[in-house]
Amino acid sequence: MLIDFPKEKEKVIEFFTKYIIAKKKQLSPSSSLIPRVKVFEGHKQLLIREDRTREETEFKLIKSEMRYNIKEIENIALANSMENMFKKLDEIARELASKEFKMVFDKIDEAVERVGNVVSAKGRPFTESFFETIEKIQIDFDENGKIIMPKIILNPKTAEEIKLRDKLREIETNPSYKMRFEEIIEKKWEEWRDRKSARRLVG
Amino acid sequence: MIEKVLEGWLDSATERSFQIPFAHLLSNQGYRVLHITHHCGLEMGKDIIAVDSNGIPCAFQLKTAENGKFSLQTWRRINNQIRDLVYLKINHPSIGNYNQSHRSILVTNGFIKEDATRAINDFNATLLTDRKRPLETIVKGDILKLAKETYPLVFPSELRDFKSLLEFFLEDGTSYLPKGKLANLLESLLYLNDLNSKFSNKELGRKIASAALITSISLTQFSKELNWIAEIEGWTIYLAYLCAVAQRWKLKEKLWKSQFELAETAIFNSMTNLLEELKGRTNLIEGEPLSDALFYRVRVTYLVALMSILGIWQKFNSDNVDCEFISDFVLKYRTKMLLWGEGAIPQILAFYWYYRKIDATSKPDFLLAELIEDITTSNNPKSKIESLAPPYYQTQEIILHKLGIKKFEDIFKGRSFFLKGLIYLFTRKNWKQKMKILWPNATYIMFEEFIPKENWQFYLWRTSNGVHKAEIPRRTENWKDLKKRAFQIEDDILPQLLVNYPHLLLLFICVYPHRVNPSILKCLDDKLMNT
Repeated sequence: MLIDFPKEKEKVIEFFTKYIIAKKKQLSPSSSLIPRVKVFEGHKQLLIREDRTREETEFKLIKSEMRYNIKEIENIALANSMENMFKKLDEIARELASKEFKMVFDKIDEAVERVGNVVSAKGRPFTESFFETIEKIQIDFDENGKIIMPKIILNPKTAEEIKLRDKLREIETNPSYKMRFEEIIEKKWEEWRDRKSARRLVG
Repeated sequence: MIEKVLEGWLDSATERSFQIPFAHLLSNQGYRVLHITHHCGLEMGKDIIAVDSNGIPCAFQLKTAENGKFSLQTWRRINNQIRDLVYLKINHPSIGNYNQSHRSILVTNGFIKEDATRAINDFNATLLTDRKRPLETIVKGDILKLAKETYPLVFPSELRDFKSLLEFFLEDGTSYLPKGKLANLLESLLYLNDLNSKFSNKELGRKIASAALITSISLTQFSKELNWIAEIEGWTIYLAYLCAVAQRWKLKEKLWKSQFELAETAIFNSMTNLLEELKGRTNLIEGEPLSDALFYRVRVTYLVALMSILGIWQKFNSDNVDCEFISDFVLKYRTKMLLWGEGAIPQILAFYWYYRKIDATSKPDFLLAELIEDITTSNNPKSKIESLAPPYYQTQEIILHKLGIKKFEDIFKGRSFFLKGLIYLFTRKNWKQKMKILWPNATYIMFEEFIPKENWQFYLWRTSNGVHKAEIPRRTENWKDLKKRAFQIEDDILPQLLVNYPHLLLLFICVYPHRVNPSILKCLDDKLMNT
């Protein structure tokens, strides 16, 4: 055989993997908001909810392939530049981010549809669907009673089309919207307080 | 190559380190092993007592050959021990007839030099006139021949496994045992990953014996350094894989029991050796002292746990151990124990169950309350303090993480593998008002556990067959319901074979903390508290 550099190559592959993970986070900031838990063994997950309903999920593999021919590798080597290599890694990161995003949001869609928590914004003013959404979701407060606002994840194009920032500012400034928002938050605070006081051992 | 490895192992073995594999070898040759000495010191010259296939009692004296040779000088040095071996009768309850004459066998891992051979022949001539059986010898070549006959399945052909075995020879024996690596080695040898594999009982018996030899070879460097903890862990892993084989192929007890007992003896001997070392130490610092400050409490935690297990073990069999020292040691160092991650909880629980036996006050119970508080505080989703890593993370990884040298990608907040079990243990003690205080914070933590698909998979280091269970606790819980559940044990999620040996089950969960589930803790509580 010809001389090889296995130990060094292992380190290079490790570096490439780290690069892909970092790039994936950069490309899909919303999916990086989701906490990650490493599962060390097994083939499925069982979630038992507070109401004792159960949901089993088989683990799914997300993968992306990188194909290249020997000529390409030789070209990368001869070009004395890693630019093409990083282009390939970027492609992988993009594909993985997109697959991961889709899988997570498919799961969320499935869950909200099952419990009837879907709010359709089609043909309705943004403020209406916004208030309906806020009313439907659970909102938490910190130990000082300060609201922990949920995050809105929206396609950037849609956000621009509906002028999201302006609409949110309007909710903050328009007295009637502001009053409605405060009423909902007041209700949410009471719900949160009830939830908190429900955390007890009785009997 | 295989022969070279065996030879290499035998050359570097001490009488203590080849005692257990030699006993396995005897057992597989049809001997009934009755006794193995604790310290490989002398018990009237008899290191191993066994009965051969003809029913004749046998006493073995094991001697390390210096530079591969058993010389006349060595013979002269051990002459008194040999006389005891031959002339003093075997006194063991399993040998009914005290007056029955026994075979005496000198075993050495080298070859006997000519002058020593002549001396042995002269000695045998004396024995003949004294109407005694002659002294038999087993030398390196005999052991290798026996090993080859007994372990034809020792080495699977895959280079990967062979490479792992060789890597064990390069391990730093003063360090921790690479548990996963040993488990993988045994797993491939025993074909546990191959779900379609079928073997005859004879083949399985040989595989179990082969696994014992592999374990012993893997522990060579650790044994050389008198690293008792690595030995304890290594034999515990072997014992677990033996249970996996016995359960998976539904082996009759007679096919595995003797090997099981030998492994149990190996663990017990290493535990008592550890105890002896602790008795002779003035402090528990090891190796380079300055950086040891970071590892000291982790070591102390494990030592307190192991001594607690030995204290508990003593109550299950009548072997004499220094109970007073154990009690003094454990009580002296208990305040220095450290909850470095969830992997430390079985160790703290080992201390708890021992403490419960020597202290009838409520103090031990409140140790459980402290653990619950620690988990709910550090693993609360909103907590700012560092959370406890799940039991899958080992000590060395966690220490490097705490120092910022190693980064973990996943989050530990809002989850725990032990909280549910600890709540049950504390509830069993009926501390209702304290539990009412603890409950609200516990509801922010998801209870996790892993249930292998097949019961025998409990003993595997990792398995891809099983369910990772995550349970959101009820916000409002009823004390009566909680108490009822605290006493219910799901039998199907207990490692069936090991459950009959609570002291070993306790050791098993210290070595395999990721295998703990609430039923195992409740079962241990029942068994350990009722003895």
